[in-house]
Amino acid sequence: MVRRGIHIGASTTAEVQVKLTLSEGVDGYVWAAEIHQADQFEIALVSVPRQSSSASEAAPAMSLERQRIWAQAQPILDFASSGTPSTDLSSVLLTPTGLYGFRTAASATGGIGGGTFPRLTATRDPRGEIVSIEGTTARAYVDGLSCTGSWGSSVRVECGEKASTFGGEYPYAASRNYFTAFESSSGRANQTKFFSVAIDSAATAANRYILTEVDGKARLYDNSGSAAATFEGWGDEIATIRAGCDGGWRVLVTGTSDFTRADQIQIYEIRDRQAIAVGQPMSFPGPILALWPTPDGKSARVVSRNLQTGMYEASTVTVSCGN
Amino acid sequence: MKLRLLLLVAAISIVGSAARVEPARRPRYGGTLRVEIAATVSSLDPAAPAANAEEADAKRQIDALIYDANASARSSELTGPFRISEWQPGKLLTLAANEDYRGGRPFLDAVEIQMGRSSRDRIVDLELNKTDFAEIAPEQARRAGERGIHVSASKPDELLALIFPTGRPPTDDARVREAIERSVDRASIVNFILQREGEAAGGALPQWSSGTAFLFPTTADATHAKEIWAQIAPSPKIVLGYDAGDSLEQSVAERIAVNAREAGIVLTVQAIAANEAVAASAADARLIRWSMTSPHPREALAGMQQRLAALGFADPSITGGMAEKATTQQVFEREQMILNGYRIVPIVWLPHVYGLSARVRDWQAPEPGAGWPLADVWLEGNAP
Repeated sequence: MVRRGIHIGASTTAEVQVKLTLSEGVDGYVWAAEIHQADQFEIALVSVPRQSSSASEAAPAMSLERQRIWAQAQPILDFASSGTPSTDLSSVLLTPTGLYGFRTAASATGGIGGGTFPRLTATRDPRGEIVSIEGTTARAYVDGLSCTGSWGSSVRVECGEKASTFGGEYPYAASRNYFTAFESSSGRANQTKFFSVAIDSAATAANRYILTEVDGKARLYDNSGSAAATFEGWGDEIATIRAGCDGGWRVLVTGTSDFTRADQIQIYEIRDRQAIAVGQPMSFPGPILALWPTPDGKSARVVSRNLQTGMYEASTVTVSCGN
Repeated sequence: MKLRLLLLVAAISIVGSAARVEPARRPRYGGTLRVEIAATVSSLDPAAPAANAEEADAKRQIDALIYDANASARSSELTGPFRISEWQPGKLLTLAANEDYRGGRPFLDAVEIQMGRSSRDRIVDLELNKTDFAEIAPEQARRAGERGIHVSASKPDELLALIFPTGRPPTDDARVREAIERSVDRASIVNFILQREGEAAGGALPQWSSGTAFLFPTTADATHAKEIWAQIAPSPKIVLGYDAGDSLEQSVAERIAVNAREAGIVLTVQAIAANEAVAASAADARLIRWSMTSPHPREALAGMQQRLAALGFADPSITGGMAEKATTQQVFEREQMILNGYRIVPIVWLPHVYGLSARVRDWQAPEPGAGWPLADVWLEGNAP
């Protein structure tokens, strides 16, 4: 320190002593200098706004990898990419208020504007999904309505007929946050309210799927129309993922607890009627609000909220076979 | 004997099923949130004056549930997240979810607010699962947690402070006020009376808000207090008033009296009716509670100045205004000015503490100045 020109020695009354403290308040950081000189004492303060954290996540778990795509202070419902860089429309962000487009030009991605939805019925837990991007048009479901965004000479966003999802089978409950499935079992029609579905894409003939239902349980259904198995301790968001590794049907499953806590994604392998946790869960510093499979099924789109920064984050999660 | 055993098994099963709730993340719709409060609210008319601070605070919370805080102007229409469905003045208020609420229908179907519940009743009812939500005194938070109640605390945002009104001969000498300030052992108040649920206050704003509270000393200095007191002749006798219905204020007042006696100061405590005006009180000093009106330092300090002005302080060093975009340095200097004359002596910062039943989800203690966010709360185990 002496070599660097800092004087170290016993204090004398003629010297100025400065005690420097870095503190933190609600609006940011505060540098406080307490300056003593002879009988004089003075405090000087400099405030520094807090930057949003750009620190990367902890090292991902062995079998799951996360790539953060976008982060913003406003809520995000979903995001999707056309799969190829495009100067027309390469990716789209869905929020509770509108659709926003991005295009890729000279290796850089830039916003090309967006449009707000016509007045929708507000819900406290809005949900939405981007179902397709074709050319300059993106289609999305938001709170049970089907909306289309077109990026031509101007941006146009329109919402039309009542939407459904998962192959048009399951209607979304208006002003709520779940879907309804109508099952027939032993000659009786049952109504099942659920948040999310994972379909066994490798066995379409068997028609196996899992619903995370509003009673907090996840149930496996097969051709019989009734629940073949019940899985407890699963969160409400699930998605089938094709890992490209050996093995069978794998499902990404979020954690439990509520939106005020941290979350996780765990891979489960479904064998017969059992769900077996595979590898270590990937933790998130806040709740996962949406989990949708990408069209090719090889990864999942994840929307989460970072409770440390308050930012909404859009990420893709892929499975690594770990070999 | 066999019947008794069967009944016991049945009772255990019922308790077991009530306590066990399926974990879930996405909010569920439905259910009635049972709330218990200490205050008795006699009128929901915003224009009707509250009988005391407790009722005023309860009315503010109810207002936030039935009026739309973000509406440009309050209309006579109740446009908040809930609507009144039953109203028994001073006893019970039942609210129903407003299906057309601008911010989206609340997850709860209803909120039932029972009034006039004592601190003890609220804790017992939380323990017996007879209520879902109740405010708990900070000093009881630890014990409530040990009794299995889920406890949620806000940031420390309520100041318990000693004020010395003007025009009282025994405390008009600033040295008297300074001696008392230096004698107060805030650490022991936090550790023993508050059971560590709070923090010592030296500044007019808490550290989490201003970032500068550490620059205001909070340690007791009985030696210096004695030295100052020895210079004052004749030694006055000080009466410290506290709210007769507030057991925490009573405990803190008694502790301050003990600290003062250790410094040779003659200070006695006196219970005062909650609604008795400071100006009308015979006490030379008084304990007051002040809840921050904003998390932001400038706005919060301005809120405190308003309160002090309402208590009769007219000195511009205390009530003087601040620029709208006051810097951290300017806010700090204003805090120093308010506290320099020892008319206001911060003692401790208290959190607002809430007891919750096991089925309450997505509850987050509100920021200063905001109402209970019950529209965001949902109940586990409610299948719509």
